[in-house]
Amino acid sequence: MLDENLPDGGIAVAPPPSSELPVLSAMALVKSFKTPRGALSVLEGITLEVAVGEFVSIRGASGSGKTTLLQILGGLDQADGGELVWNGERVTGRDNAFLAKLRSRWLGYVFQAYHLVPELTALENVTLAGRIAGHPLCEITPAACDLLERVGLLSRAGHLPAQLSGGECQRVALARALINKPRLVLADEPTGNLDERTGAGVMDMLLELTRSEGVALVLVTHNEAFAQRAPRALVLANGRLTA
Amino acid sequence: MWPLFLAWRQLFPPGRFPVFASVSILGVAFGVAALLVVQSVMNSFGEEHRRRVRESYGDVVLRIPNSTAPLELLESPASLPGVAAVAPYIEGNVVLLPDDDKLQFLRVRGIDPEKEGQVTPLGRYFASTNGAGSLDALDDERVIIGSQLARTLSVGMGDFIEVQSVAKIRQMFDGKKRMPLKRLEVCGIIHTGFTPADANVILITLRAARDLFGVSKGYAEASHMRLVDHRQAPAVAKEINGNLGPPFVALPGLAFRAVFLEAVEMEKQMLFFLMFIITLVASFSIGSTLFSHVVRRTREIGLLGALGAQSRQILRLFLAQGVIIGILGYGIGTGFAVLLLHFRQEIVRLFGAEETMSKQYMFDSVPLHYNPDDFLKAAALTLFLMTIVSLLPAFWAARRKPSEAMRDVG
Ligand SMILES: Nc1ncnc2c1ncn2[C@@H]1O[C@H](COP(=O)(O)OP(=O)(O)OP(=O)(O)O)[C@@H](O)[C@H]1O
Ligand SMILES: [Mg+2]
Repeated sequence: MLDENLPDGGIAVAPPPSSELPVLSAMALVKSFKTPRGALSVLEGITLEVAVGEFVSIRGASGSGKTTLLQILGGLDQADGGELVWNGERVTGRDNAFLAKLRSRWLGYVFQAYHLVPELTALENVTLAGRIAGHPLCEITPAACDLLERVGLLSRAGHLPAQLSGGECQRVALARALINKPRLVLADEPTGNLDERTGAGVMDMLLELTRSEGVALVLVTHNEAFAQRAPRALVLANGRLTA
Repeated sequence: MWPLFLAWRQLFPPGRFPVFASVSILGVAFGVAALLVVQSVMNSFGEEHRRRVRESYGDVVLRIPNSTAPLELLESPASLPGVAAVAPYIEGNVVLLPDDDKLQFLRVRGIDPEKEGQVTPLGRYFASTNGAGSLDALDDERVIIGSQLARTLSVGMGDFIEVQSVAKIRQMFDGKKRMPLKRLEVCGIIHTGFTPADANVILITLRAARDLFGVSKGYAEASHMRLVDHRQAPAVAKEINGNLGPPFVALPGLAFRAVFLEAVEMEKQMLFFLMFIITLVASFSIGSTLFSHVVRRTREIGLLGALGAQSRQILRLFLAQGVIIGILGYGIGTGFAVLLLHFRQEIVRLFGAEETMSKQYMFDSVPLHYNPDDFLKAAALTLFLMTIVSLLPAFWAARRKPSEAMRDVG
């Protein structure tokens, strides 16, 4: 079937990531865990669409399944049912190698517990993410320095995580999440381990960085105030998302 | 490339003493050192035994069993390519009567001093600390003896010993005639460091031996030769056998002690097998340390997965750590081994084992011959075992689900 409007003669192989397509769309995601006392249903039909550059926050009680949801959205775990589409590409049922490749290129993660590699310096932690995505070290280092400067840690680039405070570690993690110019950042309680003032600083930085780069952000947080800063604030309860 | 970089960093974290890496590397190093020392010492014994046997028998021996043969035939292999020198000799049993009433039976060898020096490195052994005199001084009235024999007989340079052949003594008992003892002046003492030689050697001239053993002029019992390349001995022996035919028999010198040399070689192989078992046990204990090293990093494995690392890259990350430990352990182990072997004499002395060495192993110093094969074998074995033991934890790591690994509380 030929379509006159398509530039390369009408053969649509993979749609180019266009600004109209949502970076992420999830339809009717279902997830339950096997436990000794039978299946524990955590997600019971999650439908969510995140547009380019959009900022969505998710709140929910502890144990409501926020981490589980973020892991499924990021391809770290598989849903039992439903569909997941990244940038118009259906990823449900694809193998792990494929998911890992895509993940490294266009997805950034920020975790509550920072998860920096303790043997690597701040700079090396940032460049590691770039190298995993397949960028040569010499290419990625200037970008990493630039990001460290933007989170105010360029002078600490050679320090190990053990020599940095919690807030500083999380700022390194922010730089790492953005090093591959992702289209989406998934942040799981990034301020959960920090005191209020430090947390606010990190949050400002996260919002500023994602906004200026046009990166979409899905933020899971317990903090009411942070959640309300999102144009779209959702709540996860009983396995479903509600506004 | 990043798995290798991270592997190195995890083994040698900056600003911290690398406990895990040092313990594992030292473990491998000690194993490799033990293996190399044992193999090199055994190899040296074997090599040294072979050399000594070649030196006392010659590379190839030619004779007619139980008979004498004309010199011109015995010396005919001299014209063959690959034969460097030929020397005839006569061997026979003598009774030796020292001044006290100890009687000794010994085997003497009559040689042509000039030609003998071309075949065996006799000349060298006069110069050593316990040696004296020279080969040139040997004439029909003189004798050269081994250093240990000189000690047992308490004779030195210029002293006399008296001998008579067993055959002539038998004739004397048969009442044929009186046989005076042959008086020989000691004109040389050789010290080879090889106990069987030093305790038994008595060298006289070919002429004196003809007299003692009743061999006709122009005849000798056998000849031995030195080859340009001693490894050609079997081929040269075969060629001589082809040329001369029966009743002549040419044999490589090593064949005279074949059973003994095989036993030495066998001993080396048995020890390798034992060391292999020990190394195997050691590898598994390193493997279990490696496993706990990997399990402790479960959350990091999850993180790498979240950052987009492929399973095979995670596999490589931990496999590389095992291989790095193997390579460094092998390097350091080789260093240890060379160091230990360098001070082998001092170590033997430290344990007061010099006496035993000389009695049991027939050397008064520990010889050393490195065999590149031993080193290659040890390297291959180390790499193989370290790969095997790190494969298990590496596979374990590569199969972690990132979502679960990141929830790990360890
Ligand atoms: N691998 C698993 N096996 C069994 N149950 C699991 C597993 N992972 C998560 N769960 C359960 O799923 C539910 C949701 O867990 P999840 O970590 O997503 O909650 P959360 O909303 O992130 O909580 P918190 O706010 O405390 O981080 C919990 O009840 C948890 O016990
Ligand atoms: Mg959580």
